[in-house]
Amino acid sequence: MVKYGKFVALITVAVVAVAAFALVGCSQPAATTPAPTTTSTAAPAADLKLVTPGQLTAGSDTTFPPFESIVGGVAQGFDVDLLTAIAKEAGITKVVFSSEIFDSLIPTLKAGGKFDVIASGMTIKPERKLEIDFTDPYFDSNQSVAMKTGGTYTAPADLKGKKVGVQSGTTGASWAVENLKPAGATVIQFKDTASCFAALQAGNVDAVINDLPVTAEYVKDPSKGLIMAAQIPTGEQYGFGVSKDNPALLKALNDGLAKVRASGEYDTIYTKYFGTAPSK
Amino acid sequence: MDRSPRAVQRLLLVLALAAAMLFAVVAPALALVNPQVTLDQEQGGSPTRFTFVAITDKDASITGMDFTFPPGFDLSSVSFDTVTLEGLVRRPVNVTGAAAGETLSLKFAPSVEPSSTLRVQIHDVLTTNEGGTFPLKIAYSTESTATGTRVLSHRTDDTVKFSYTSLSFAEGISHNLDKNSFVAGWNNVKALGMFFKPQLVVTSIPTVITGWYLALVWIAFAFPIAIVGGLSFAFMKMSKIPPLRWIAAAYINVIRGTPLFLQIFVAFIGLRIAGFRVDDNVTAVAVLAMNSSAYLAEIFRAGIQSINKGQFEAASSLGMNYAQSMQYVIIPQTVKRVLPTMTSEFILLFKDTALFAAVGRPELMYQAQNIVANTGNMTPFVVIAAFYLIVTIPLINVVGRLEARLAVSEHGQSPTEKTKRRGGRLMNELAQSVDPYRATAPDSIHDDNERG
Repeated sequence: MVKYGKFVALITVAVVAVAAFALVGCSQPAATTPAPTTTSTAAPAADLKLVTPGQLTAGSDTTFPPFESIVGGVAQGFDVDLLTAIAKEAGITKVVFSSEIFDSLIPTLKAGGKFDVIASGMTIKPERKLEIDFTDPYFDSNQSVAMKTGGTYTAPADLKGKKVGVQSGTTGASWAVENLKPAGATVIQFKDTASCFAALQAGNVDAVINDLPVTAEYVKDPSKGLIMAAQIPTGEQYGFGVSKDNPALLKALNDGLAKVRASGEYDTIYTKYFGTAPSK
Repeated sequence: MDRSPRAVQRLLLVLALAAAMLFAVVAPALALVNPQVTLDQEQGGSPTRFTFVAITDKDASITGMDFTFPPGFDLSSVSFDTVTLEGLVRRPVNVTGAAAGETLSLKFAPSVEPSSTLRVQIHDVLTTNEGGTFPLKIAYSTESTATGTRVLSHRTDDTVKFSYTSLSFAEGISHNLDKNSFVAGWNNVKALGMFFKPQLVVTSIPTVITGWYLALVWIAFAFPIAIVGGLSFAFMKMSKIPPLRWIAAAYINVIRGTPLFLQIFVAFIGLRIAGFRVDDNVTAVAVLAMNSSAYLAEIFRAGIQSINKGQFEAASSLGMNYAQSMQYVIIPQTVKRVLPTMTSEFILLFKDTALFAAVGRPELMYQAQNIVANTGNMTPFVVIAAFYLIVTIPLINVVGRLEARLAVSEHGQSPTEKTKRRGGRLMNELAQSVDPYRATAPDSIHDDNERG
């Protein structure tokens, strides 16, 4: 009897905990998570045609640490801190990150009405520039090959007959299709980076091609049993994406970025996430 | 005995040495190490991005490069961008260039440093329709600092190879549609161009049809397995032996009480991280069959229990045992009653194959998503909707007819207007006059298949 009583009590506690958790979850919309906001006395925002006046809403694939990820219900990362600092310079005190699927970011921004800016570690590419505008580059990145511990990669031919996971719509996906597919690999596309690495852990794919800093973050935890097998120098650069209909916002962000770089705040944020100051 | 392999080895060594010497004479130190070119298109005949990557030699800086494409390539709308990297660090480079005929000439100022990665992307090169392997001729000017003095040299005899396949039939049609003025006007209407772009309809069909086949093959295996499993669980749940009942109830409740999406992730990610792995398609069929068997079990159980108890009693009064009365009396009537709901379950299962896109299985949804991601156009979704409907609409029709027939045979008349139109009033009156009192409703089973 005593045994069962304890068991029932335990289950009750668990059910109550789950219910409470669910309630908390409901009270806070899961998709939009406020980034840490700061109060400032900067000049008020000019008419920037923001989706929500007085607030910069950023569309972001928030499974992309250390640039953006949801930790404890709040978006955090390099992009979040940098965009918040830039917005502050532009006189916008509130920045909100809205979680989106990466390959739908550009169509959604073009359609308008959901977010003002793409802040999602997005590489500036000529194909994308046809669709949207980009701010000045704010981060230099490269590609990488992630594999299970013990895997080696020296050339595309090493992945002949293997499965390679990529995130749909990314530069890593293009790289894999151009370099690995002709070498005989099968490229499998996933909706987000987290799914790629989950598939790699599960052995559903033999390698993942993804942006280098993000792979570095995903393979950090040794319990996952993953390594970065190779670095691929591509010299790509990230930019914040802005609708072509909103040149005022583009200018405000570019001015803000220049100020944040000049003031040294950029270096501070960079060091916070990557341990060292950016190479000049 | 062991002499001949040694002799072969020696011969090989000599040959290798000779080849190395010959190579050393013919090819002096290259200024570019491991040059490679890749294309973003797999087929010819469309604007293609060429990505040229090489590492500059340790004692030569590159001041200019000429890329000469094979005859027939069109460089008239070409553009380019260049990146140089030292290790992984991007270095600024100023590039000017112009295309003339089939040659694109680039000048670097300042020159590209020794031992750095050079990436040149050449956009919108119009390739020829005919596929094959082609040479890209590269000539470059270098500034050598090996001897301490600057030596300008010019090399012209390097080539890298690239290949692509011929323009496919579908792409060919698409290119012809590009030129059509009616199609251009159609695509200019935003809603039409976004959801019904003719070019994309044509080019996406060969890709998405492979996903359609895959989904059909899965279902062809999964549904029969699910019927057997569903029947087993149905009998277990009606069993007089409590543990069997418990197992069946637990299985049915857990499967019906959790999303299929979750079950897919458990099978494709969770179990595999835990070390349990079977073939991808076998896993997909297993997940579908397990999921559907739980729903079918409830359909079958409700179907069997809807048969009047009097039928059992009548069967046993004829001297039939349980198995015999099931086989000859109950099951034949049940089949008729559960057929519409079973067909609905088949439709649900077929549509549910779309969920496997999330784990990268190349079914219809996955194929469409990839094309949408690459083109930013929603037309492939409309195309796969048609592929789903090709299967589901006839089946929905079949369900409607089965239900009407069932209603006629059970109630003596149809709850819908359909049979009246089809069978005519006479048939209904006839049915009623033959059996006017059988109004007992087996309706409970029809609502049992709703999914949350």
